[in-house]
Amino acid sequence: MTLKEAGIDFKRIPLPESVVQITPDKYTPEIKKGSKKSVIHDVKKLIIPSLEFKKDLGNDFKNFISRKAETQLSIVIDQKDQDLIWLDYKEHGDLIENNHIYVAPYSKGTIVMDYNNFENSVHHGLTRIVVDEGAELTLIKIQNNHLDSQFIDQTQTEIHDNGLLKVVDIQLGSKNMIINYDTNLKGYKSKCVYKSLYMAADDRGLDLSFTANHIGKKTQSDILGKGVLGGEAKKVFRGTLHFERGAVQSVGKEEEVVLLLSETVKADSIPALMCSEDDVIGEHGASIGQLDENRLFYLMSRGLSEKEAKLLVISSSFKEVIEDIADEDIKLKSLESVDRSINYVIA
Amino acid sequence: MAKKTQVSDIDRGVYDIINEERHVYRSDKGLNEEIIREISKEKNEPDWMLEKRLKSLEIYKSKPVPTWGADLSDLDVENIVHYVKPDVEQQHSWDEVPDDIKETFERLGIPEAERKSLSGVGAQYDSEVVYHSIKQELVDQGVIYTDMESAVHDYPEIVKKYFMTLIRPYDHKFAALHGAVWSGGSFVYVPEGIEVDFPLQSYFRLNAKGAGQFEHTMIVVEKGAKLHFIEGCSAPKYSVQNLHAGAVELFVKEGAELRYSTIENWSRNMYNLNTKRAAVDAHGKIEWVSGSFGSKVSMLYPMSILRGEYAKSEFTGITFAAEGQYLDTGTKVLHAAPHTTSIVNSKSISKGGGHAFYRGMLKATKKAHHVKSTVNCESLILDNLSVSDTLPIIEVENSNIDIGHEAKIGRISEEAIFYLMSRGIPEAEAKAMIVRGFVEPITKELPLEYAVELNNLITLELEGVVG
Repeated sequence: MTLKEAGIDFKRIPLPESVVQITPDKYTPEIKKGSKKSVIHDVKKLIIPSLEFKKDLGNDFKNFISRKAETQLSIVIDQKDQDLIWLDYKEHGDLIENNHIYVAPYSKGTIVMDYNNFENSVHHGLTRIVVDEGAELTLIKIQNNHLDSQFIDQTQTEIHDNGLLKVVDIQLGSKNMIINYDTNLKGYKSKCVYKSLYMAADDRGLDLSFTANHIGKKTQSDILGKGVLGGEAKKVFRGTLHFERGAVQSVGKEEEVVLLLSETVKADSIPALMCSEDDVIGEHGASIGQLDENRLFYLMSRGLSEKEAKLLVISSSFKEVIEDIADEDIKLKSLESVDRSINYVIA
Repeated sequence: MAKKTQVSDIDRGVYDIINEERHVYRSDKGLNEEIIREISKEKNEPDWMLEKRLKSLEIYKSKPVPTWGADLSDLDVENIVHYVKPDVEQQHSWDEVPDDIKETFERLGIPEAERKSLSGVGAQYDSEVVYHSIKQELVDQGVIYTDMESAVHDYPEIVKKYFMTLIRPYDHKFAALHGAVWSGGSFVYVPEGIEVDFPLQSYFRLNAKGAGQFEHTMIVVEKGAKLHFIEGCSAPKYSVQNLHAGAVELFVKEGAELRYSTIENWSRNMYNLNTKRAAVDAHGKIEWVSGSFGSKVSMLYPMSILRGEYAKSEFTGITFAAEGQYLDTGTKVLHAAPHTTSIVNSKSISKGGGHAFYRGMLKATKKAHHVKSTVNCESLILDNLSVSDTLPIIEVENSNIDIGHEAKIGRISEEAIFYLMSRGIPEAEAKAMIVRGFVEPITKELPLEYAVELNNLITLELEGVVG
């Protein structure tokens, strides 16, 4: 079975021909930080999203994951205080994971999925999340795998009344990646914030898709994409805002900033606003290749080359996002990885 | 509960007037080689044109109906009469045009335009051009303005060189259909260095039940020349589904400028699957002003191919989708040369269950460095029965570019209304002002009488009611 047959057809990104041969490792990430109690491996009592998702990778993908997954995590956050779980994925072969996260009413938590595998591997992941009433989840995914790896990851979230999902997605490694986030803002005043950072050089390919589906009243979404492309990298960034009928007074925003460093990159942006309700505000903006000229001029007048100045501007804008991460260790680690990646992209 | 704004439907008035059908020739329903040969024979066409038609028919048969965008499953192409010719010969003066046809045109405002001596009027009635006049001074300058059929006979070398080269029959099924059955349309040729200082107008409409209209417009603006061409369409309402698959090919040569304005106001049962393209050479400029109002389904994406250095394109478009309408419109810009610039301004209004879809594409190729482009899409959605989608695709293969894109969707801001009301303006008037302000950038691009017509088309009857 090829990925296409499995319902995954992302034309622009070259993918491994066959996924059937993958024999995933039986692997459980190390819990670097946080309580082990929260990570339960009993997948029988699952709370799964109740509604369909707009940008599903398809039932075949789901079946493939559920049949072949050897990594299954079920994480429950039920602490009133901030709860942090840091999962460290390293030293593994091919990986297929099928995860569930449930955030109980009025609980708060942060989950860090830190992929830094040094071996060349294939990763297929599906994470289903339910954020219950008044709950808050911060999900940080840092992907810095071996540069020949494949990384295919889907995250589906359902948010109930007054719930909040914050995503920080940092893509630095792997050769080809498909990242797909889809959130159903089902509850009243539910909210989701996506922050996507990516960096790619050589002949790497990225297909990033962030979707917010406004169903409940007064829901809010915010999609922010920031990236740097060099070499012959290809990327497509799909930011989609859906406003269903009845999602009155909802607000959705989307913004994308891309910096292109070489003549041979290929950058596609597909922002979409799909609106079936009048009482909403939807906005999106994209800017490609442009940076504040005054800022660049200032830096260059201080002796930096144009490239250095550009990179300084972009790395500071990346760091702006990372600075928001509350945990110091994770913040430090992310900053280090981003710096390393910036240096790689320059070289 | 928030107040809803009521915007009335376009007052179609004269556009729904149906004249008695009188035809000398009406082809059988359906499409085959025989029909194509008949059409060509009827038009007394040279063989090379017949060959092009037959080749297109072949391609048409091999191409599937597109499945993306609008739902075309109700469209039964086989049962559409592709060619209808009214029994009036080419007229040289307005007086000779038959009364009922004249009356309709008069009600559409064409004689007024004539009176104001704006330009030659080429109005297409059904599939043939029935009335044509062109100012003597244009003729003296060497400007050619005629119908496509005459152009095929009188200027074969120009037609041969350009015909269906921008829109090739291979592009999609309806382009192939057009290539096979095209009929009527305008042909304009502006020689090098000539600046036409008043707009040329053509107004055509469909009048026979089940008749498709496949007019072909070809405009060639030579080096350093200038032209403003206006095309308006309207058709009466019928119960049989109508199809419009026209083609517009515009060639803007080095340093030339062309402004192409069009208001498409088809009846509510029309499938408007029009293809429009412009190729712009170095330092040339194309300006599109496009209004889409009527029709049941529209799929219309005027495309600018900027193939010469410093070529420019500007697109200003407005779409108004009311009940039962699916208007899938947008624009494509292909930056294929360095230092090319483009501006896209698109507005849409949807109400009463109408579906407005902006589908845009902006592409910069590897060669196209120093490209500058801005895309702005604004959508106003007037009630929660309506749907408004925006899908602007940006594809970039080059690092030395500057592309900005912005889109906004929403209803009339309560704050803006509150502000105006605090200045003593009644609520209904405040809303009307905002909606008028919203479409104003488009109306100001049109010549006066078209702007008036546009304002008539969007008869905004605003009143605040609790929704």
